[in-house]
Formats: sequence, C-alpha cells, structure tokens
Amino acid sequence: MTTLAAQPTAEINQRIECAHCGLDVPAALFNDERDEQFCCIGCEMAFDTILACGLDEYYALRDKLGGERQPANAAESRFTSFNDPEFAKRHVKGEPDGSLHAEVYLEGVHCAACLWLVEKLPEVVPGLLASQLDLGRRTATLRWDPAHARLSEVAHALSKFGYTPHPIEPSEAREARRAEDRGFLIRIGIAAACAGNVMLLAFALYSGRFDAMDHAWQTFFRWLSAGIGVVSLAGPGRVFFRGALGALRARTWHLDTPIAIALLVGGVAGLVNVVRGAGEIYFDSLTMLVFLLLIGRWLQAHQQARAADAVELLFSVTPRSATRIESGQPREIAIESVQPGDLIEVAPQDCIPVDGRIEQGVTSVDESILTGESCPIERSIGDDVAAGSVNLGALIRVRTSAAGRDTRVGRLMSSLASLSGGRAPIVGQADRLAGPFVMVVLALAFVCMMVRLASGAGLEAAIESTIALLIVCCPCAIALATPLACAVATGKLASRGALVKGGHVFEALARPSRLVLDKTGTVTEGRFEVRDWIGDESARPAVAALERGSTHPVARALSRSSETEPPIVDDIQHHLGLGVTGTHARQRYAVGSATFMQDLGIDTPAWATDAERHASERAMTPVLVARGAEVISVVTLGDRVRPEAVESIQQLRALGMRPQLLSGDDQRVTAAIAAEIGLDTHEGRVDPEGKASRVLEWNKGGPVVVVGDGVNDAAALASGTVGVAVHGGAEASLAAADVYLSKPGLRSLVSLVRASRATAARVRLCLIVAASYNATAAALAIVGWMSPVVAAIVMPISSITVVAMALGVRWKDRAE
Amino acid sequence: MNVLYLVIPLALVIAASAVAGFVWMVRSGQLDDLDSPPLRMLFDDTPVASKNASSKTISSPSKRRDRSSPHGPRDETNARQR
Repeated sequence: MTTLAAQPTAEINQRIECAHCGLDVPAALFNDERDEQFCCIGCEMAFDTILACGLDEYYALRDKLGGERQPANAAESRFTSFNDPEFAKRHVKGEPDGSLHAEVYLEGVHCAACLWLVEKLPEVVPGLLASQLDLGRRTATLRWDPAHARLSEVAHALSKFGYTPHPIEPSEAREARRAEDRGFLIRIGIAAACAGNVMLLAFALYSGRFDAMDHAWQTFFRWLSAGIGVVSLAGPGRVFFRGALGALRARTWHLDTPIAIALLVGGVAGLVNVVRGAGEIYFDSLTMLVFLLLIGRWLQAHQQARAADAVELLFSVTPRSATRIESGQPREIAIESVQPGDLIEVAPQDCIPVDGRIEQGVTSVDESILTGESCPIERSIGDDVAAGSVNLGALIRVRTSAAGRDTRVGRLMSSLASLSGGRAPIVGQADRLAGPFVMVVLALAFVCMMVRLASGAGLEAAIESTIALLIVCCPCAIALATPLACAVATGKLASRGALVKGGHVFEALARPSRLVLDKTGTVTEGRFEVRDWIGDESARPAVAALERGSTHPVARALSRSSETEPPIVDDIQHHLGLGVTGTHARQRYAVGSATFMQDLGIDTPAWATDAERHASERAMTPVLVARGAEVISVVTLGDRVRPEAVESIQQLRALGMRPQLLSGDDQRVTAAIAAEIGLDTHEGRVDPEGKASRVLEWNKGGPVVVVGDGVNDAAALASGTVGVAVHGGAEASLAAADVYLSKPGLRSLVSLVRASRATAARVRLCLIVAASYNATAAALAIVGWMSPVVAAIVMPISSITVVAMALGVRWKDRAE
Repeated sequence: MNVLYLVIPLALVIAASAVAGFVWMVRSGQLDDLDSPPLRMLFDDTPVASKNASSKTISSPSKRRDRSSPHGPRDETNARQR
C-alpha cells in the first residue's frame, strides 16, 4: 500500500503524497481526520471507491507494473443522458441473448493497472456482464443485462473510479484505418505461412545438393516451392506490383518500383528454371522478402494509425449536448438538434456551443482558442458570441444564429480538407532514392551481362549471374529501414507525449527549419494568472479569500494565487465591474481598479500609479489592493509564459530550429512575451487567413514547422510542412495537425525533434550499410563469383542486419 | 519414402487451414487490440476480496450523495475495513 503515515500536524514544507496518485497534497486540502491524504476530491473518491469494492490490489499492481501515475477525476455524475432512447439508437447494440453492448471512450485511463481495474468492474457492478478495455485507444466495450442494470449505472460506477465515460462518435476514417490494419495482418499471415513452408522445402533442397538427392524428389520439391512462391507473390506480394504500376502510370518513381522489378525477375527466372528442371529457383528468398517488407510497412502503419485513433478519440471528450430553453424550462438536447433561433443556456465554465447573441446575462468569455486573444472579453446583452469560446463568468442565455457546421468553427473545420490538399506533396527520402537506384541497378546488370559474356562464360552462366545481381540488389534495406525506424520512433514518442500521425514528420523535422510558434496556449498557459505582486505580499491569503466567491476571471486568478488555507473574511461586498471589499482581522480590505479606490476615498500613491501604468503598457491588467485607507500592493494579471518554455526554446535553437512568434493577439502582448522567452522575430494581430498565407509563403523557402493550439491556427497547421497541435488544443487544430503533443508544454516538442534527428541518422546509417552490401555483391556478381545460391543466402542476411539496426533507434531526452 | 507425396501436401493443407483460422481471427476483430492482451495475462484470477461492499458502494448514486461535498461527513468505516 502506498498509504503514508501522515503526521497529525501538517508542516508547510513537508511533502505529502496523495494516496491515490502520488502528487503533492496542497496544505489547504490536508485533513487530519484521515490516515490518507489526497491532492483533490477526485482522487479521494476514486481511492475510497477502490477500497470499498475490495479492489485495493490496484495499487499493488500499479507499483509492480510501473504504471504512470495520474490524478483521478472521479465524480458523482448521473449520466442520465446515457439512458436516452436517442443515445441508445446511436451507440447501443443488442446481442442475440438479450444483453446490450456499447463502446465508450474512458477519459483517465493510462496504465496497466487501469486495465485491471476496468475489467474487474463486472464483479462489483450488478448486471454488468463484461467490460473489455483497449488500453491503446482507451475505449471500453461494455456488455450488460438490461434487466439488471442500466448504462447510466455502469457509467456512474466508472466515473466513481475516476474514468469518465464518453460516447464515441462513429468515424469513417477510423473504420478505414481498422480495415487497412486488418488487411495488413491477413497479408502478413499468408506471407509468413508461404515463407515458412518454402523455407522448409528449401532446406531439403540445399542439403540435397551435398547428398545427391533423387532427381524425382528434387523436381517434386521444386514444383511445390514454385506453387507456394506464386501464391505469395500473387497474394500478399500484389501490393508491391500495384504500387509500382501506379508509379509507372504517374510517371514517377516509387520505392515499390525496384522491389517489383526484383520480385518479377526472380519469380519469372524461378518459374523458368522449375519448368526446364535446372538452375536456381529463388522462391525461398522471394517469399521471405515479401514477408519482411510487409512486416516493416505494417509496423509503421499500425503505429501511425494508433496515434491517429488516439487523437480522434480525444474528440469524444468534447460535450455533444446543449441546454435549450423550451417554454421557460431548460432541457438538455443533443448538439445536432439545435436550430437557429433556439435560446441556449450556457453555464459558467462551459463552452458556448453555438454562434449567437446574448439575450440574458453579463459575463466575460475566453476567445483565445478562436482568436489567440489572451485577455477575457466582457460580453453583455446584445453582444455576439462565437461557438468554441468559453463562458468564464455568469450564466447566460444565447439566441442561436448558427449551429453545427454553419458556425464559424464549423465552416473552418469543413474547409480544412481543402487546405491540407494545397500543400506541396512531400516525397519521402526513400521514394526519392528509388529512381536513381533503379537506374544504377539496371546499368550494373547490363555491365555484368557484358563482362560475363566478354570473359567467355557462356550465355547461360551470364544470365544466371545477372539474375543473381538483380535479386541481391533488391532495395529491401531501404524499404525496411525507413518504416521500421519510423515505427520504433512513433511508438517511443507516444509514451513520451507526442502522437505522430504521418511518416514524413521525422524526415521533415530532421532538417533545420523555421519554427512558427503560436503564443496563447502554446508558449503561454492561456489562462489569466497573477504575474507580479508589487508591494506588500502579506495580504495575499486575505485577497484570495476575498475573491473566492466571484466567477470573474480576475477574481479566479487572484483566488488561485494563494496556496495557504484561506482565512476568514467577513462582510464581503461585490461592486459590479469595479472590485470587492471585505473585512479580515478587523481591517478593511479593498481590491479593484484605481477608479474603485478613488470612489472609496483611498489615495493611490505615486509608486502604485507608476506600477499600474507600467502594467498597462505591457498589456497586462493591474489590480490595486488597499488595507484600511492606503494602497499596499499592485497586482498585475496576464497570461503567464509556461515554466519550461524558455529552456525548450533554447534547446530547439541548439537543434537548428529558427523559432518565431506568430499570434492573433495584440502586438504589445506578443512583443512582451517574445522578449520574455528571448525571441527576436514576432508578429501580432495576425488573423487565421494571414497566418496560413504567411506559412505558405515561407514554405517556398524551406520547411516550416507550425506549432499551435487554437482554431485560428488550424489553417496554418495544415499549410505547414509539419503541423504540431499542443495539449488542450481545439478540435480543429488537432484534426489539421500531423502531430499532437499529449502533454502540456513544449518539452515533448524538443523530444520530437530529437527523435526525428535520431531516426533520420539511423535511416542514413542503414542505407550506407545496405548500399555497401549491394555494391560488394554486385562486384562479386560481375566477376562471376556470385552464384545464385550465395545471392539467395546473402540477401536475407543484409535485410536482417538492417532490421536490427533500424530497431535500435534511441535518443536522449535530457528532461527525463 | 513415397509416403512423402502424400504427407507433404497434407502438411500444406494443415498449414492452409491454420492460415484460414488466422484470417478468421483477424476479420472477427480479435487482433484489433495488440496492447492490452499481453498485460492481461499478468493479472491473477483472484475474485474480489470483500463481497459485502459491492452492491451498496456502486449502485445508486442518490444514496451516497453526501460524499460529493469536500467537507461533508466522511464515511470512515469503508476505508478502514481492511
């Protein structure tokens, strides 16, 4: 057990671990009535639920399997919408035996012990027959007996363990990826069976050489090998011929071209030799080649499909419901049913689901995800609000002007597909090499034929040598090295917080390139926070307590700014739009703007006025704090630079990236942040279209890496050579980007660039080794020492060398 | 030795049926998830230790609503039972 023997008195400096997740326990949450301490209510509930169900083996398992620790977000939600007939129609399917099943996305699943816990659920939830978790996708398939349980009860149980279930929206792209993955596996299965059986026959044939095998047996074995070999080439091997034909039709080179040539030459020569009953038959090498190449390709496709699935399933977390006012009563409905003209209610801290105009309520909204603007904006009756922005203040009612796909965000999402089509196609390094490779091999084959004939070896021997050369020069090393190295890097990166959806990412990031960073939410936290506290800091806890009751973003930032137990403050009075007053320890406190202080008759000293002006110049929000009749401190609020941003940007620079800031926010704010993180190149007030057009312009001069989170970055992300969406980004940006950083901050970006460098270097090394193999073999063939048997044996050896090298991709993350 | 003419094709038929079985497995989705099964085998098959709590802990949300408040009454007995 991980329970700590907590001391009865909590010292501030003593680190206390959360019994559930191991994070630090804030002093304010310390509870001396319990043995265990928790970092949040979510963890406490998850811990109690796990213990009460007798599932405490979870903690032992997690320690044993070394799972990552994450705070739980356990909550008591009713999930009544899960029982809705509409919901059932969309997500629930029936079984012949009368049970029902549904697939849900589980937020908060992260380790092997989670797998155990979720699958133990049928033992503690009556009526739940089975729950099967897919750890990679974080989806669970639940099967329950409708007579004894309802889905809402199962969902409730899951949420109490800290796994919030979300319905999964059906997706054609995901289905296509699944079908592709299955197709790959079937091809690999057939190719493996063929290769194995031909190999068995080949062993008999090779040993028969020394043993004077009976001729009839030899013929029988050769025909059998030929039959299986043709199955392998025509079945799973067909993909290479199809790829080569496609490239031929488009008059370009593709990596499949030289592979198809080698397969075709080897197959035809083998068949001819079988029929005429003499010479080498090659089918053992060819079937093995098909098998190995398919494995390499599948590994890469599988890792990338997993990353794409993971990113897409994140969308399930976004709420798909809205609250409509129907004859005065709020009613929760599906987002698809909202029509223009509907009156929608938006609770504080909720995302506004529609474009529309406020009819009731005064609030401030966070539009950073749409515009990059870091300051919350005041909105009142008659003002327009856009879908995707967050309601920070009070409850509002919005008259819908556009919903669903017709909103600004919706239109942008549907235009993304055309945007990414506009970017220059990226020709992979392997495909670029394919053309010259084929030329060189064909030229060598010609030279070999001529040299052998000229040296008087006879036509048959010359042809044999040439075929041996063509087969041994098959670019299996190139074809294997790239996908394997990419697959290894993708897999390793996924566990370090970067989900890579495309193979070109590594190649593009391996070169020094322009790095375009978004400001809000990418290099900054994208939240209103206390930046500086000028003057007397002793009032911090009192101010935090004073502001606790308000939902105003300034008040929230101030109440977050103190970690100590909030003191008792009486007589709190909110003055709308101005500030707040209250009494603590018999002293009157006032927090608000300079005007508010004037109204209260409090003099603002010169230093405070200076500090206030200085803050305004840097586009930050100043707040004055007065105790009694004097101003004691000035607090400036604004968006805070992420703690690791400066270090990460230095590291990226050292790696040859040229970082710059491109923001939709105010020029002054952008300049201030750029100065803080040490960037010379910056530009503010750029609209989404402007971002995309600038990126396209730069793209002509070299690779551009775009990093962003907002809807306003989506077009730019799609236009760049590589688009990277950061943690917490909008759905649009995730859909547009090639990489998604699943951990907050820029550290995983550094890791991504390092991984790309390591991958590219390893691929280069593989290519050099393979090329020297091929050159040696070609030289041997030309001088006539390369018999077909030697070719058949050498080729797999070179493949295996390359595979072993490619699988060893590793890099150092200094941060970890 | 002539039996080889029969045995080798027979072996190939067996191999083909194995491949057919594999294809069926893939098509029915048994190989869609390759991450969880290798972990699943590490878990012991022991039933849940305490049976008493099962029904009352999880089932109805309304009965236990008092716990949703951070400073609400604490149910100490459950946590201490072990």
